[in-house]
Order: sequence, then C-alpha cells, then structure tokens
Amino acid sequence: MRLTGFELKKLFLRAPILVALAVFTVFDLARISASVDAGSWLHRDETWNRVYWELYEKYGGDIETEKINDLLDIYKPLETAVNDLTATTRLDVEGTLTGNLYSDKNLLERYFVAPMKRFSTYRGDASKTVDAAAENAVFYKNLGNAFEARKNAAIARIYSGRRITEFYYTEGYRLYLDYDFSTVLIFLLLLYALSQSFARDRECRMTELLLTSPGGGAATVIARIWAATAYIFAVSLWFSAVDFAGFDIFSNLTDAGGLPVYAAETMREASVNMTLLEYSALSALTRALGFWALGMVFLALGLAGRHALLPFALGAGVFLACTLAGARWGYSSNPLLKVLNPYCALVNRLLYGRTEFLNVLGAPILTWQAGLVLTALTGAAAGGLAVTLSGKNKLGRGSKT
Amino acid sequence: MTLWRFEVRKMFKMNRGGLIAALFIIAELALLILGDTPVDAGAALFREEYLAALSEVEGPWTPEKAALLESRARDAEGLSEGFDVLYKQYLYVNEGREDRYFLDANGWAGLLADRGPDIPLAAAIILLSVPVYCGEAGGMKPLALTSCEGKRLFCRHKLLLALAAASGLSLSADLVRLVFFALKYGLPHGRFPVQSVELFGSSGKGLSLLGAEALAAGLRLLGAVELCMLTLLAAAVCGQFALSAFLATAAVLLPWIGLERQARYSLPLPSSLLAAVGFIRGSEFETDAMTGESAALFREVSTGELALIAAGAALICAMCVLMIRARYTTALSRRPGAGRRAAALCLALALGLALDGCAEKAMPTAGGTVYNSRDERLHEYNGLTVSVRDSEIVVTDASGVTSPLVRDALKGVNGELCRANFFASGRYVYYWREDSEGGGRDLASHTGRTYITSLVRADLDTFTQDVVFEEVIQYTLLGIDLPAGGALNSPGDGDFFVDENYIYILGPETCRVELSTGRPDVLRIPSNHNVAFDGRSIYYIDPEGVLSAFDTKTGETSALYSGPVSDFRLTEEGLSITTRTGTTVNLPLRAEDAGGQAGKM
Repeated sequence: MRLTGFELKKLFLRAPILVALAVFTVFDLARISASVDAGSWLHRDETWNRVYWELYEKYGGDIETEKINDLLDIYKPLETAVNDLTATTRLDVEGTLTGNLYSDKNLLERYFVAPMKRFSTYRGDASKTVDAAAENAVFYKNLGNAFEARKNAAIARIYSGRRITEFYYTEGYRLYLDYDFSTVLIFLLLLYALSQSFARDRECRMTELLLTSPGGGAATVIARIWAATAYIFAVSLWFSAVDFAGFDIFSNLTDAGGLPVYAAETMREASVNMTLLEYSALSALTRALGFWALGMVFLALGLAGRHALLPFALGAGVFLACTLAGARWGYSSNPLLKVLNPYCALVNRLLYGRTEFLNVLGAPILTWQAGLVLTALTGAAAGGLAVTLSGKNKLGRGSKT
Repeated sequence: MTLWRFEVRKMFKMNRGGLIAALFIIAELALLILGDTPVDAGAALFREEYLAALSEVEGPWTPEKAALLESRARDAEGLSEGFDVLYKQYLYVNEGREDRYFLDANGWAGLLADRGPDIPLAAAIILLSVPVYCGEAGGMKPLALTSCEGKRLFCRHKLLLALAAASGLSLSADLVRLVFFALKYGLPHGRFPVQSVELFGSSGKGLSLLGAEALAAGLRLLGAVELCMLTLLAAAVCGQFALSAFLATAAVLLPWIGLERQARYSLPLPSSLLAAVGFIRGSEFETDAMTGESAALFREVSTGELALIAAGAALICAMCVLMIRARYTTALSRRPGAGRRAAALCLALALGLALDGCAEKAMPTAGGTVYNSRDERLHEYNGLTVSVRDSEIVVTDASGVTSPLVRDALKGVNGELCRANFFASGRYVYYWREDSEGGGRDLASHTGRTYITSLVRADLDTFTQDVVFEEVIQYTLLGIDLPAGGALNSPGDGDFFVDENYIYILGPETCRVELSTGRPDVLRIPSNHNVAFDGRSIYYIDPEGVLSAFDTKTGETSALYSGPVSDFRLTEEGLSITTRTGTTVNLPLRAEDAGGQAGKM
C-alpha cells in the first residue's frame, strides 16, 4: 500500500499533470458550451428559448391526453396554414408565440410534437418488437435453430414493458451522449503519464536500484499498476463528471434524468433498461474501464525504448489504430469486430445503444457484455505483460524479485 | 562541416530519424493506395465512354457546347453511363460559366481533397524534432555549450537541421501525392481554374488548379515548419521526451477536434495549416429543412485573412527561434539516459486484438440458379415460396401460411429498411438492408442518417440471416463525420444477382462489385432486355440484338444464337428464344457447358 502511495506521488501527482488536468478541464467546458450552442436551436434563438421554457412548464411531466389534445389544438391549425402556404410570413404577428407563424410551427414540431409522438409511440413499437420476438422464438424453436430462438427470447425479455410515460427536455442528452471530445483529453493525459513511468526510472537510474531493494522488482511494478489504475479511473471519471456537469449547466440534464434510457433519440434500440441518469453513470464507468485497458497497454509499452518517446509514439499509434478500427467497424453487422476493440468501451453508446448479440457456443451474448469482458481481459493481459517483462530485468533474471 | 555531420548522424542514425522518414513515406503511400476512392466514381467506372464524351466539350463553357450536350440529352435513347456523368458535370459547370471548365477532374479532385491535417506528417515531425534538444544524453548539453564551437553553432545547427528535415518531409509527402494522382487518374489542364473541381465551386480565389496545389503545398510547408518549431521549443524548455511529445500532440489534436470548422481556419494553427485545403475552399451554406433559413456553414477565408494567418504562423516561428536561442545561451540541464528494452509484443497483441476477425465469411456455392431479370420475383424451395407482397418479402409454406422472410424483431425500433426485392438461389435468399441512426448531430440532419448498406443472406432451412457484404456510407471519428466514399450504393429496389464472389447490379449497364473488397467494375451488359443468370454465365441481348453469354469465371463473351433475338428466357432446361420474326427456338444448355463456351450455332 505504501509503495502504491509512493508510485502515485512519484508518477502522477506532478505539476505538469495537475496543470494539464486543470487546463484540459477548461478546454472541455469550453467545448461543451460550443457544442451546446451549435447543436441546440434554443441556444441560437433567444425567443425560442423563452417560449420553450414557458410552454415546457405547461406540457412537461406526465404525458396526458389532455395535454396532447391541447398541444395539437395549437399545432394543427399552424401546420395546415404552413403546409398550404397561406400563413403570413410577417415577423410580428399578434397572438403568436414567437411572432412568426412558421417559427411557431417549427418550434412546436421540433420540441414538443415530434418528441412527444416519439415517446408515446415507443410503447407500441416496443410491444410489437416483443410480439415479433416471441413469435420468432417459437418459429425458430420449431425449426431447430436454437441460437435464434434464444436470441429472440432475450429480445422479448429486454423490450417487454418498455414505455415512456413522461415528457421532459431530452435535447441535452442528445448532445451529451454524442460528445467525444473529453475522450481525447483523457487519452492525452493518460498517454503522457503512463508512457514515461518506466523511462523516468531509467533516466534517474532507479531501475537498477529498485531491483536490489526488497520492495523493488515485481512488487514495485504491481504497486505501479495499482497507482496507474487509481490515476486512470480518477482522470476518466473526473472528465465524465465535468462532462455531465457541463451539459447540465449549459443545457439541462437533470429534468430528463429519470426517463428511461431509450427516451434519448439515439438510444431507441438500447439493450439496457435503466434511467438516463443511471446510464450516464454506467457509461462513465465503462469508459473508465476502456481507458484502464488502454492505460495498461500504454504502461506495458513504457518498457520499450531508451527514453519516453518510443512508448509515447507507440501508445499514440495504438490509440489511433483502435479509433480508426472502431470508427470503421462501429456500425458493422459483425459485432465481433466491435467488441474486440477497447474503443467500444470508450465510445460505448455503440455498445449499449444497440441490441446486438454474439453467438458464443450457441448462447446469445449481448455486445455490451462481451465488450466489457474482452476489454477487461485486454487490460489484464497488458498489465500482466508489464509485470512479466519488467521482472525479467538484467539483474532480476533467475531471482525472485 | 564536421559538426554538421555529427548532427545529421545524431538525427538520422542515433535517433532513428531515417527509419521514421522511411516509415512516414510508406504510411503516406499506404494511405493513398488503400484509402483513395475516386471522387467522381462514375467518371472512373465508365472512364472510356466518359473521356470520349468529354473530348468534344473540354475547356470553358460555350453556348455551342451547352447546345450540343442539351440536344444529346434530349434524345435519351442509347445514352451511355459515361454521358450521364458528363451531363452531371455540365449541370455543375452551368452554374458558374465563367470559371468552371469541363475536364476530367478526378486527379485534381483527389489531389486537392480535404483530408484534414496530414497525421503521418505531424507524427513524423514530432518524432524527429523531440530528440533534437531532449536527446543530448549524458549531460552533453552543458559540455557543448562550454566549448568554443558549441557555444556558437550547437543551437543553430540543430535548429536548421530540424527545419530542413520538417520541410523535406512535407515536400516529399506532396511529391508522393502528386505522382500518385498523376499516375492513377492523370492531372490534365493545370491552368484551368480551381473552381472546375466541385469542392472549390464557390471559392472566390482566382487560382488555377496548379496554383491551388502550389498554395496548398506552401501552406502545408508552413504548418510543418510551425509544428517543428513548437515541438523544438517544448523540447528546449522542458527537456523531457514525454512532456514535449505530449505538448506537441496536444497542439495538433486539440484545436482540430475541439474547434468548430470556422474557428480552425481563423487561427494560425499548425493543424489547420497542415490541412491547407480548407483555406482555399469557398463559403458553404446550408438550408435548414424545417425553418427554410439559410445558415452559413463556413465562410471563405479571404486572401487577406490568409496572408494574415501565414504572417501569424511566421511570427510564431520567429518567436520560437528566439526563445530556443535564449534557452541555449543560459540554462544548464541534463538528461541522463539508461538502457533500452523492447515490448513490441504488446503492440502486436493490441493491434492483433483490435484488427482480429477481419476475415470475410466464406459463401457456399449456390446451386441450381435460374434467374431472369424480367420475371416476377418468385422462388420455390423445399415447399416454401418466396415472393414480394406489399413491399415486403414473404415466405409461403406448403399449407399456405404466409410469414415475413425478414425476421428481425428489432425493426420497429431501429428504423432499418429492407428493400422489397430479392435474389434467390437454392436455399439462400439475398436482400438489401439499410441501417440508419435517428437524431443527427447537426441541426439540419434531423432525419436519420444511413450508416450502412448490407446485403443479407437468409437461409430458408434455418431462417438465419447473415450479412455477406456491407458498405459504410458514413462514419464518425471522435465527433467528426467522415464520408466513407463507398463507390456503390445499394441498387434500391432495382435488380441484382449474386454469385460466390460478386454482386451484379443491373442498371443501364451492369455493375459488378467484388464481395471481399467492395471494388466495383463495369460489365458491358445492357439491361434494357432480359438478363439471365444460371450461377455461372450471364445471358443477355447485346446492342446489336445478338444473344450472348458472359462467363463470370473466365470473363469470356460468346454469341449463342446467330439471328437477331427480340427476347429470351432462361429455364431449367435451357434458353427459350423468341426471334425477331416471332418464332420460338429452344436452345438446350448442357450441364457441362453451362459456362456458355459451347452451344454456339
């Protein structure tokens, strides 16, 4: 434990890292603010913003027939007028919400009618899926296709009882779930700190010294792995917290936090049943796990080369390769290509946001389950490699170290 | 001169600079060879016909050329795909008659494509520059600075050498690209205006194609020098390998990923300069589908602004030089080095894990194929009948019960679209599926984006559905949308058939796509009459009215029937031919010459 503390202090609690962490946090917040401004009409138009939140007071909360009818009473005449092009294009029309009929119609359609429709039809879509899956399960069972039968039974289980009964502002989640910039920031911080961990020892001639001391050798490396794990999770979760806080401040995440995860536009096909708030936490932890696996690879690569440049370059290369492969095969219908890549844990909406199965010896395994296991295995293998390779040092050969 | 030699040796031998430079050239070449798809896929696919049609109108727009193209387009019969490509180009040229010229633009469009910053170049520059000031192992720096020659020349030599290396890398990358595109597509008419290439259609800069490339190369050179200087400064100030590399990487990556497009090209950043082409492109507007408002996506960087940005970059370089020199007249720091160790195994493991499983699924040979493009889609197998009903592919079993073929329970929630057309052979039925994701990132793309088009094979014995071919339309890389540049889009509801190695898509001409690579090519097979396929040969009526067979294995074409043929149909027994005179002739195809080599009359 003391060794871990030393390693943590020596490698990670250093001025350049702390400064970079602070600066990157500011970058992250600036980027979040910019992406909210670019991605939301409410942030582009002051009138829309004011009118939206006024109407939201009225229509937010439980989805009720009264509210829907009330909304459609305002919306339908507008839609008709706009569609047959009889609406006036004047910008200061009395009795309108935003001063212009087209603008009114667009605001209502985008921010109320369309999402409400999406929410209220989801129940039907999901139950159709359940019915179809249940029917398929029987069909495939009769055909003797065991995997498809079990897969469809699993789909029926996942989608049964899905419904969205409340209406809240979900645009914040649309932007938040699609946000990747902090992933790059975390990557840079991890690569910098981890790629030099062994090189620094070598530079100050600690390597030889460590191997002659009782706490040196493998014990030090294991302590270093623990310290690195603490650092990786701290940095990764820190940026996840900053992301969440940033989007909550600049947009709004708390209102819709209690909605089910499939209420988000891109998560309709989610394979997990939980609230958006819980999903945010799960996603943050998954990203931390993905970075842990990559971090262990960076740590093991730190053993290469005479100074820290080669490990740094190799680490950057690994990340680039993972990212390109992840982007290339992220949507592929061959889920194996996705889950073998630790990138799937970093940008994990492609894992949780889709209901995909792997055929593992006839058992249907969801991609997120396989992805988590394989990512953890990658990290463990890389960590083990770091211990093995560093233990076999010039002086350590044959000895216990 | 000796000092120079030492520095050169240090950079290229001791610090593996030579290896880095070689790897860099290989990476640039590999990216081009593996990643390049023609910007205008049609012009590349129907190249001969396109060039033939183009040769009449090459050059600037004139009323005569417009009249010629219009009149050609009006008698629509018998127009080649090549002409279609040219006509599309004409529509583009017509929008800006002064500065848009007709030319085979694929080479230039590829050369001047907006690829974003040149990542291999940035990586090579960082790797070469970091050790320049960090790499003086064993306390050489104080020693060198106290020697007579060292005091004067130590810093200067290193600086000049690093600059020369960075410029050399940048220029050699340009040369590699130039040669690649000149050889692959040709780079004709360098003096035509840059607006002739669609990417620069709205550009307000009066550049020629050659001028645009020269400007882009110059900007990249400036970016390379700036990045080199910033890296050297980081190395000189902090003296640590990891920290210098980290700062330099952050300086390239973060502004590029973090800033909106407009902001990227408003600042003298190395990443933007390395991307170069964005500075030359014109303004772009986008009409919001819902409000009808036109919003500027990107405002062109004017020549004046570009000059300011270049001056800013030069100023940054100059300041870096001054600061590096200041470091090297005073401070004393040391960088002892230690032993080396390789862990390349980890990299191999990680890459292996990430890229494993790329192997294509083998496709069993389809037996007993009888396909006629003019027939109604109907397939019988083992008591099951596959047909299209209400835009859905359905299976009817012997007892008359109809059920959908596509048994994906999730289609209600994931918005996938299955085309109502299929090709069947024995137990396998093939159909096209399009997957999209709702809720785009941009405000304008509120409709779902299609991400992937797949050819799915359903097995009538087990009803298992396997994807045998897929093509990504667009993918996202850390928040940046990249077009995947697939040459093929699914045939929509059009006709197609499949064998073990290829998909054949019937259009005005038949296009063939290799399943394993996705590479398309064109078969000279018109599909205005029936086209039949028996699993090995394609039967069709050529433009002269001769019934011909194309052997897909050998690539040979042979005539099957001497007289003019108005129609034919492939059956289990052979070909049933209707001649121009209205008589029906049966032409048996023996099993062994189903290849179509024999059977000539």
